[in-house]
Amino acid sequence: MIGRRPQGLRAAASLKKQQQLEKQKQEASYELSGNSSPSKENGSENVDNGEMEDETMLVYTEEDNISQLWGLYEMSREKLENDDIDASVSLVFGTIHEADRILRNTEDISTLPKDFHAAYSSALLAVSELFEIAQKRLKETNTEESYIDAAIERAQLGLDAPGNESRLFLALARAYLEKVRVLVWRHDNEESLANIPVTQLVNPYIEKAIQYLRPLAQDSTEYFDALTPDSLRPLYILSSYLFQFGDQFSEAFLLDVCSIITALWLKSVVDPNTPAYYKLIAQEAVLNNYTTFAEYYMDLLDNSESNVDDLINKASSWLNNSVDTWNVIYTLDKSPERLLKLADIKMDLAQIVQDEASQDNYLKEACNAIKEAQGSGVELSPDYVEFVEAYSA
Amino acid sequence: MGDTQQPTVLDRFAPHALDTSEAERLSREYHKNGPYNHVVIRPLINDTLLRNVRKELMENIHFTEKVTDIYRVWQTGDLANLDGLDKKEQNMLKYLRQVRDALYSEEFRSHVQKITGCGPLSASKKDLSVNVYSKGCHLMNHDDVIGTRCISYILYLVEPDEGWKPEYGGALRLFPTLQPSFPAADFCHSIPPQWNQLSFFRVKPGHSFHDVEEVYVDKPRMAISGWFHYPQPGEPGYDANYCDNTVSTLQSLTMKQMDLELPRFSYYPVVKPEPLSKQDTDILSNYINPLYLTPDGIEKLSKRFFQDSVIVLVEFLNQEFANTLLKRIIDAERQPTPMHSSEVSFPWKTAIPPHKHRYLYLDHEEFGPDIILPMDLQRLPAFQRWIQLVSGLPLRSFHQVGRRFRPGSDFTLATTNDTALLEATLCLSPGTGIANTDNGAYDIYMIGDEDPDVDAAVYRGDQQDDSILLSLPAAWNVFSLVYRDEGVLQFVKYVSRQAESSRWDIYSQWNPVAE
Repeated sequence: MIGRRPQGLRAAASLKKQQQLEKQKQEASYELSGNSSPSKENGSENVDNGEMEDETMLVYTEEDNISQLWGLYEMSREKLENDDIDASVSLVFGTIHEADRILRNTEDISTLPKDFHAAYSSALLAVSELFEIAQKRLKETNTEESYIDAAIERAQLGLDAPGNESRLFLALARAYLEKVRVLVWRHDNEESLANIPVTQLVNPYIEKAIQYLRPLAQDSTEYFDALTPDSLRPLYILSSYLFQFGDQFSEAFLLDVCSIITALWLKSVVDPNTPAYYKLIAQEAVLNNYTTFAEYYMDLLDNSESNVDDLINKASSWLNNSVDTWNVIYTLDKSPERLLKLADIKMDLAQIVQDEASQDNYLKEACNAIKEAQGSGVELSPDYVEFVEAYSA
Repeated sequence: MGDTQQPTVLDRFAPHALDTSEAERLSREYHKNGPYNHVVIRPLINDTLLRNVRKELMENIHFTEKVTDIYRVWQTGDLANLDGLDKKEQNMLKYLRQVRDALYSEEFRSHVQKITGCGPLSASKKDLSVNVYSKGCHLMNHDDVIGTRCISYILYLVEPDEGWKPEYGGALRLFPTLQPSFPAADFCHSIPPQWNQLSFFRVKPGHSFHDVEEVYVDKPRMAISGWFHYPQPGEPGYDANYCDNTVSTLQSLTMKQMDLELPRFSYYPVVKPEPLSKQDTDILSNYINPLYLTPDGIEKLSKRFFQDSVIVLVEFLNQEFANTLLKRIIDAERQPTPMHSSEVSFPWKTAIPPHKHRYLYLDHEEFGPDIILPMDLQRLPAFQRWIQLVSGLPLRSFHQVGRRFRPGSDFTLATTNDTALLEATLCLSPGTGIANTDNGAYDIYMIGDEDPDVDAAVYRGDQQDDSILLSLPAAWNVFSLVYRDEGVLQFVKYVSRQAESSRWDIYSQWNPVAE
């Protein structure tokens, strides 16, 4: 049907009017002449003329298809964000279908840009993420992990492709981190892996993920629109893993990774038009990073008798970073419950400082924050109530 | 003897209205008033005379309703030709004629020159009419620049004893200019009508933007409005340059670079036309009524579209999805409606300039939980394949904008298109008031008139209805698709406050591949 062009609103209306006039003339002529023979249908001839096939050649570039492919994937994330998982899964499968179609229609696959492989990889990874719903629509018996592996493989194919690498690096890093998640889970649940240290199993993927995250975190790498808080969710896996096994990595390594993670979260919301809830997600992730690092040094304090001053300074520094970030969050969302988090940070600061005056000041600030939260209607847990009572005594 | 004598020109004016000291006072006021020079004189005309004029008009004049993209008003014909009426008719309008002649008298023109500092004004070109703005009537933003107009004036004849309150509406509202020919989104000065009040301002191309606020009450806002022109050929002070230098609003619209105009449209690529796959249909089923997705359904739509170049699809979105949207939109309607552009918050923005359009809009690529309208649908490759099948047109690029037309505020004025375009409008406007075309909010396609001196988009009143190609009321869950050939005018009519809720839609334009 495509190729036979409609005439346009005005032309169609004009033709219709003309046909009506012709019909009226025929009827008038028929009445006047009394002729019983049927009149020639001039109107239908005009219609027939419009049915000539249009031989216009259609020219499209692959780039159009690939930007549409990304749009399709991004829409699936939008649906997921709106809690419409079924629609999201449909769109993910649509993305994969679209990518397969592009592959089938491309003679020289080596010309497909990195962005194509990134989109395809991201969609495959999304299947694993939504696997509980997705598998109901799948005929195959593939596992969740097989889609992660497929995502990694697809992204690796893109490393030699032309084009900008940002989206591809992000896709690779995300896929490797999801692999980490699955391996940790398998290590906890599969006897065959019980004898292998989890770090031995996982660390190669951690290193790969960091390898592809680091360039994205550099100042020289510009913000790109696929870098969203949603796309950075696998960073939680990295943060959680390093927290759990932090004692097996050097401090320098941990600091390096922390700076990468923080830079990525902040970069993902650098656009002035970023919605407030995205900024909240990013800043909360940064806050979590800082408090985790503070806890790292506080744990070292508990187990160490040397370098006490150095560790105190470092823990204090990270806690103060946490306070700064908390202030940013509080400007975005003034929910009174957040005041309890501030109180926690202040209590940690009180715990590690040496001089009594500073200690008392931090405790006072913690108490004030808790009281303010209580005054705003927050129901306090017994620990907070006990603290306020003890401090006020 | 004295009783039979005609009053002198000065007697037709209020006492001291034309005093030199009054001219000086008004001149100071005129030059300090913003956003562009204007002045209000009250009272101007002899009260008894003006009451006689009002009575005369109410009893003897036939007003015709005129509705265009830019206004809705009841109007007389041109009153310059009062002298051409027969004696009986002249007698029926004798007081109006006296006021007209007083306004264009040497004495009053000289008074206006003193106030404004402008040069001589034409005595021969008496350009005025009587307008009645009844409930719902309005006049959209414009700068009055046509031909040799120099001063624009309005003499109000509202009810003389009751008075007129600002909340009745009908005010003359003045807009500041961001740059020449580009008025700001919001007016900054409002002049409500009062009995026997004359408001006037200098007509300055690209600067003197104003509108008439909708009238909200069942009280007629009657006024004599018109213009003083520059001297015509043969009159003292005639200067041919005046005619050559002035530029009409429409011309300035097309001549100027609209760097500040919003929304800015960027075109996005469209996928190749192909039959819908199973996956395509599955995706679209999340949004669209399945009746429109079957091969048979698409075939029928395509044939109809080929024949008429338009299809209108009711219950376009599937019921489940539509219900979700309905809840979101109704929730939004329950919130206070942002009116001033400073009240409009992300992701919504205000379309400017207001002498072209005004509405709130969402950009093409908006997404996220704050987005009320389904901006994602038309970005789907599956949808793009669908629309190419239905329209029979291979498409190369498109853009879309989510829109909210607020009651008492929003509209688009008529525009034409240089090349053929496929246009789609998904109208998502719940409510009965908004669907009543007496309250505006409808989308209209019509044939443009070639005569530049005639109001381009008059379609109710003197002109026949056969210039209207398509009229689409604001409605719930209706998708219209139009192949708009070159030179077709299109606009969304001003939404009256009486509509009570907004028109919500997604409007997209699709560029066909060149033939």
